[in-house]
Amino acid sequence: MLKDKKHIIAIFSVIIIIIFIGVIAGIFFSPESFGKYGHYRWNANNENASLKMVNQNINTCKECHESIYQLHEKDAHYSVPCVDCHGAGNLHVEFHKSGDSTNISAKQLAVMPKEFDFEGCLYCHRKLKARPADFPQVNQEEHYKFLHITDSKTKCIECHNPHEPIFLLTDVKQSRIHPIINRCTECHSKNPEKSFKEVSDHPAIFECKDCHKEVVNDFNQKPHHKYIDCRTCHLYHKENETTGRIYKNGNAKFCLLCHEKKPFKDEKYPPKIDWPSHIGNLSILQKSDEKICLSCHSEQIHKMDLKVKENPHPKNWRPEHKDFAKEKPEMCKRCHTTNECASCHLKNKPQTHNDSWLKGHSIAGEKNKTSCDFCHKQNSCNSCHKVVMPHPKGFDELHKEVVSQKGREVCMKCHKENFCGQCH
Amino acid sequence: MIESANGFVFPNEMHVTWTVMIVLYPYITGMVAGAFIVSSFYHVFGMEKLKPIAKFALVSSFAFLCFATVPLLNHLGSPQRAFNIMLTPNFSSAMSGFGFVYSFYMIIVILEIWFCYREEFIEKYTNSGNVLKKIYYLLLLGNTVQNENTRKYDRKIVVFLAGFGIPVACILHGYVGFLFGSIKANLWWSTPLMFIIFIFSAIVSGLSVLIFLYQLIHWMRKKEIDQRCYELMAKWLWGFMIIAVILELMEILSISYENTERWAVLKQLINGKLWISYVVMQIGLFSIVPFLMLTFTSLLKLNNRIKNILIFCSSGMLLLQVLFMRWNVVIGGQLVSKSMRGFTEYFPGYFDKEGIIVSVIIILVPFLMLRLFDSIFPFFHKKKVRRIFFSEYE
Repeated sequence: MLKDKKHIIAIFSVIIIIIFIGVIAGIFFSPESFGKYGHYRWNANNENASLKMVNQNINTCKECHESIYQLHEKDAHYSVPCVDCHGAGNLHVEFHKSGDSTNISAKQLAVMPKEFDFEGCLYCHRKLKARPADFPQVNQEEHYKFLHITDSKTKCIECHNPHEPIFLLTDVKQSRIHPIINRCTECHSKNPEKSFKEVSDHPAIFECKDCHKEVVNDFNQKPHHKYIDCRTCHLYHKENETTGRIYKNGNAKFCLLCHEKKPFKDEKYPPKIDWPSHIGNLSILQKSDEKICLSCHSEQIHKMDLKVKENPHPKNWRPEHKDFAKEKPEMCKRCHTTNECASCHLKNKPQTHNDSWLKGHSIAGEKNKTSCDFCHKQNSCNSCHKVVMPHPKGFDELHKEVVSQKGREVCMKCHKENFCGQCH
Repeated sequence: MIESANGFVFPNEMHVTWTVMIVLYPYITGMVAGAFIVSSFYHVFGMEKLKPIAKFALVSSFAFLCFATVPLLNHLGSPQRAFNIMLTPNFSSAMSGFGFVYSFYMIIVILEIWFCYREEFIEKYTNSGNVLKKIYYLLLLGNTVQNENTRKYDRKIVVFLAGFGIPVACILHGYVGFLFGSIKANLWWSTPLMFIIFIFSAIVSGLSVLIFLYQLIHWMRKKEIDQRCYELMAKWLWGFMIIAVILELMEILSISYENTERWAVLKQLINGKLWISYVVMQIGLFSIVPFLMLTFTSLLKLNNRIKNILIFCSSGMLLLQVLFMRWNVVIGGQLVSKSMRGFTEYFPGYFDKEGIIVSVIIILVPFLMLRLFDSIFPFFHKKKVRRIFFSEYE
């Protein structure tokens, strides 16, 4: 009987042996440090941390591409790192730093991608209802229809320079801060007793015309208003929930986005010019940021002497603004740049800054550093302390490096001799 | 390809991440489970009429099983890492759970095939020349003893393995349904009915593929089919497709009757993006039409030739019905935004890594493998008769 069951024993033995080999293999081939702190290989953390950086920092790109860097930093794409469009760039940097131009394969690998399809731009700028409304986004079909682009395969970069997408004349970070008015307390220091409906001429939502009535009315008389609105040219870049920056653009290149003759555009609409033959040649421009179009065509847009409706502050505001500025400095910053405060306050030293101020200023600095920043430059702490002050989060872990680089003397300026001994 | 969206879609939902490969994965797994269950009808439940198809069903199940994970490996990339789930098993991972069930099921199928074909192997071992003889000797693990006792033991073990394999096959494919049904963030997937629907649709696809291939192979080889077996399979297919389709519709009925906020968006999904693939194809053309055809063949007395054509066509249509069902579940669920107010779009592309051409290849390879298996594990008796497809033989 057993003889007739031998094959059954054999096949099940094979299965058991395979399972057994699998279990043994699991023990031997299970990676070292697997399961030490969870279901993963602990050593992988250090291995990954020690990998060479692949994505290149914008400062690395700057070393060789200074002019592009300057252009990129001043315009709306300043917060988009180079690697987002051009790829990691490690091979590019390695090849060019090596100085060995004979290595053909390395040379080929070092070429950075420059040609982008629609997806490259639409990845961020595709019109989506879920995207914040202030973020620049485009429905490609509508955009091409509006501009009468005849070739639907025309790439975005045919008109828009990715390094300088909206051709700002002034640095984007220096653009005027412009408030967003959503709540009563964004203008009024307290919640008003009356509803806005009871106040004559008070809009529910503030629009451009509510403060810039004269200019908007004038714009509405001009041909442009049929096709575009204020924010087509004065792009608004939201920075947080209450403020943003408004771009007051007048660069000829911005006008040329619509009005330059190109082979892929319809000839008639919108009106087009040959550039630069329309103005003779580019050498007549004194400065690159000259608002050349506006010098002749401003009448077709709107009056350029923009004035706000009225001063929003009460009459006795100047002597009283101190408390308000202390209480809500962020609110002042929504319209006024820090330089505006400094234009008055730097003339006189604050009363608190007496002879004993130097000893006790650390407490005030720690409590509200923004009040220091009103007058002092951000790196003014650094000029004495030689380290970032107040200490940023995570400094406990980093301080060893600072001590080894700059010496204990830096610490001893504020801390006592036995301070290190409290932990070490 | 330019992606597009309708309504309120978050930027990270524009791209459909579970591609057509994830459609093929439950489709092939379903055929595995379905074919195995059909083979068990004879081995476990003793349905003698299904004897001619039992071995074919088992080997088909094995052929599809070998390729069930190929779409996943193509989708994930780095297939060399597949065995890591065995080296470092994570029993709390729902995804790796499939790997364990799959492996266990593979052992059962291989064992059952080995015991089923042992007699044939010994016969081939006896009649083969040098190299083949050695291969068969290895395949038989050096034991070529064959007598009444060994046959009796083999039959008993086959019955045991087939019986044990039924729940494992159900778990295998039910588990695939569970993977979808348990994703509570997806409105279209999150239902406890999902794994039941998957099991029944698996049986439908298993029966369909067997009927389709059985008829096709016999027609190509100009051999006579076993009419009783064929008709019984058609009746089983009719029964199981009714349950599967009713369950699919009951699920929709239940969601619509609940009329919660998810129905507001799913209604738009069904009437919009899935109108053609779900309503017209899955429910209309490939469910109602084969249902009517199989109803005629099961309830009416028809000419065998017409009956066989109707059964053959309905099995092909039901294969497509299950494929559309997988597509509508997997892709449909990802078209809906989590905002419940918008939809994205998906087209796999023709020559992409996970495109249509690759999908067709992945689908066809198990069938070619099955052709190869026929020379090792012969499915049918080699009895040559007149051509019967589209002909009468009453």
